[in-house]
Amino acid sequence: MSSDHPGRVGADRSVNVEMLRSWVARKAKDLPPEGLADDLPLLEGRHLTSLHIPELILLLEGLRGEAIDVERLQAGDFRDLRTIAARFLVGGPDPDAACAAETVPARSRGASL
Amino acid sequence: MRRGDSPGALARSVALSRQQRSAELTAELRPAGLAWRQNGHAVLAGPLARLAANCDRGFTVLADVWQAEPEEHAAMIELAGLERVDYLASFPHLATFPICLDPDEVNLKEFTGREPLDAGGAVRLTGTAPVREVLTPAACYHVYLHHQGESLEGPLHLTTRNTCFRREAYYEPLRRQWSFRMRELVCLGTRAEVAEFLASTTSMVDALCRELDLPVTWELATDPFFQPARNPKYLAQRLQPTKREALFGDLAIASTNLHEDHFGAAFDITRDGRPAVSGCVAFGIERWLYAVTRRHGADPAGWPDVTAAALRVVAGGAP
Repeated sequence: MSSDHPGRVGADRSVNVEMLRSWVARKAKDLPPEGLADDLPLLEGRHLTSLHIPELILLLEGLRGEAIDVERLQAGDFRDLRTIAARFLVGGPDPDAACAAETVPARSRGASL
Repeated sequence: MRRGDSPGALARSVALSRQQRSAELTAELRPAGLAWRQNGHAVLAGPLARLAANCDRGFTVLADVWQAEPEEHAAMIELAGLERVDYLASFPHLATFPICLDPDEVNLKEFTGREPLDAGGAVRLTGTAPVREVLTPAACYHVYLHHQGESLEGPLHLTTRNTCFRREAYYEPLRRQWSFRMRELVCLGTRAEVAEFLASTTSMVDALCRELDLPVTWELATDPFFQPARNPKYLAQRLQPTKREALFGDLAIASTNLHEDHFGAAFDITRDGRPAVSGCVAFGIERWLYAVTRRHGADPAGWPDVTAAALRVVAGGAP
């Protein structure tokens, strides 16, 4: 997936994380009273749904200044704010460099049940 | 593949290998009742038909644990309803449409006034009526349409079976067919209720495979979306896996699927004042025939009683 989002390569890491947090806070539904914690499970808790994912990927691509290969996405990569930041904003452009997520690939074939 | 072989040569080699495998399997199981149509349909007769029925009864034994209500649905499903979950955008490559001639008499006369088939066996259609249905692609879709608008007082457990149709790039008997039989167990309820249903039913399927001496492994999977990289649902399945498949070798013979509130929200089915969560466990009946006959041989005398095995599983500890 490629992005038309203005790149912020070299931007301060904390700025990028705050932009990510701000985006999630705007989009997430049914946040708990204590607010958006770094370890709040975003997809599992249904605070974000599948409809948010393409936009989130575009946002991250803009913040990193580099495209994300969706075929390399792995289970847990978008688990919570901390994981997303570690996976996509902290370790540089190589998504394997800062993996803090599960590495369980899902298989897909043409005749799934 | 030998060094220097082109991708085209590899594809031809793979296709030949599949054809050979199909021919060998069909020849081996012909005495047991298998006939194979090259367009992706299997005929089951005699012992193999009885084994299919026996497998299906075994799956309904597992459904009975949940006191699942049986439902029988039509062979086709209205797209006006199914499109609430964007089926055609996600799986256009799998869809098979029922098509009818425009009933206008002039049109029908034109149709009957010439050879109905061309030299390749294709129907020489004249005017056609609007297409509003798709042949059932998965048995459980009917359930959500049928129960739309309902407010559930408790978890709803259902079971349904249908002949399903999926257009594929190639077909193999009992492994990958254009038309095949699918039994599904479905739960609609809260997330906790559906999670319990999926966990317990997965355990029962596991136990059933052990009883039948079918070695299976469970793996995360995704549905075969069209242009998956552009589909939010595919991305969501990669990031938050909701589908697991029981693999006999490389063949998925059953799957468990957590839909979250995807269908509950789309079809206004509620539980506790919120869109109901749903989940299903699916069994591809022909694939179970493949697994049983590969494991226990082509002679029906060596086949296990799947229903009896399921009863032993249930007696051993229902959820």
